[in-house]
Amino acid sequence: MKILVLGGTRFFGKKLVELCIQNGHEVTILTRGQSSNPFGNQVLHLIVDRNDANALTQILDGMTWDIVYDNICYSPNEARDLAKILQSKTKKLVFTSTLATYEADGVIKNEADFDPYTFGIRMGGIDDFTYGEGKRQAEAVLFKQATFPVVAVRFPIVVGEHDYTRRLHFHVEKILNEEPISLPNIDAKMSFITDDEAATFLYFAGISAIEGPFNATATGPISLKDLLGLIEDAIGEGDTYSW
Amino acid sequence: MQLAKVTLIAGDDKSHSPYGIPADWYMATAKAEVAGFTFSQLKDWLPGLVQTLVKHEGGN
Repeated sequence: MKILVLGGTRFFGKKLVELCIQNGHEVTILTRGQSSNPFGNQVLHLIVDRNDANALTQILDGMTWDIVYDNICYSPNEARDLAKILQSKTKKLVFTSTLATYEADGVIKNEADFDPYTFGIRMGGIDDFTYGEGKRQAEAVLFKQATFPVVAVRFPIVVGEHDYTRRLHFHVEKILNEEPISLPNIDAKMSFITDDEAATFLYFAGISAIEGPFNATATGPISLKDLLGLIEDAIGEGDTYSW
Repeated sequence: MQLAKVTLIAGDDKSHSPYGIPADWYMATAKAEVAGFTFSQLKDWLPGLVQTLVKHEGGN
């Protein structure tokens, strides 16, 4: 299949491209050109700022895909432009969304708890919204306006050795350096997914006949207290932390 | 054994956990499982990942 990936040079986007290549697909990556192409001649590399709708239209002219992955869309404006440009160019779009489309209110979330099909659209760019609201708006635009099937994959925090956000690293460093960590609720439970599993799910979402919003996370949440306990245990040589 | 020094609300900006959430915040995956995807168990890999990160940071 012909697959286009927006945001495919680092972390789980890079793993997704690797999976697509391994499975024999014809892969194109699209980046601003700030990071180098780690795949060499195994992919076609298009260099353009996806926020420049005219340039994006030009560079994609005459091309078609079976699946387009957008891992770097954070606003309804970006979603609107992409939906318009890809009209009659792709058979499917897989959009990387987030747990942050849901409120952190202590209740375990099902897909229906945020319904993008009925959510009121308010247009704007990335700076006009919080991260979660930008993703809600982008989902709403895609599901209401796209002329092709869309999957929105809602990930929790993605972790892995190559996590450039270094948020799990933060806790390891603080404990190693004996520096304080402040948080509002140490008993609050959260969930995670690895970069490998995130990529595997995105691939699945593309090649299988699903559409609509899908939650994707490893099974079983962990409290911050237990997570810090795991770090303490890994630093110490003592007993296994009983989580 | 080195222990985390946790404060609840106060603390300077440098100490704020990027995982600081006010209440449970996680998702059900029944819809994806019904569609044919089987997710990993967090318990099977999180301790190993934490150990790897600790080693990278020079601890133990």
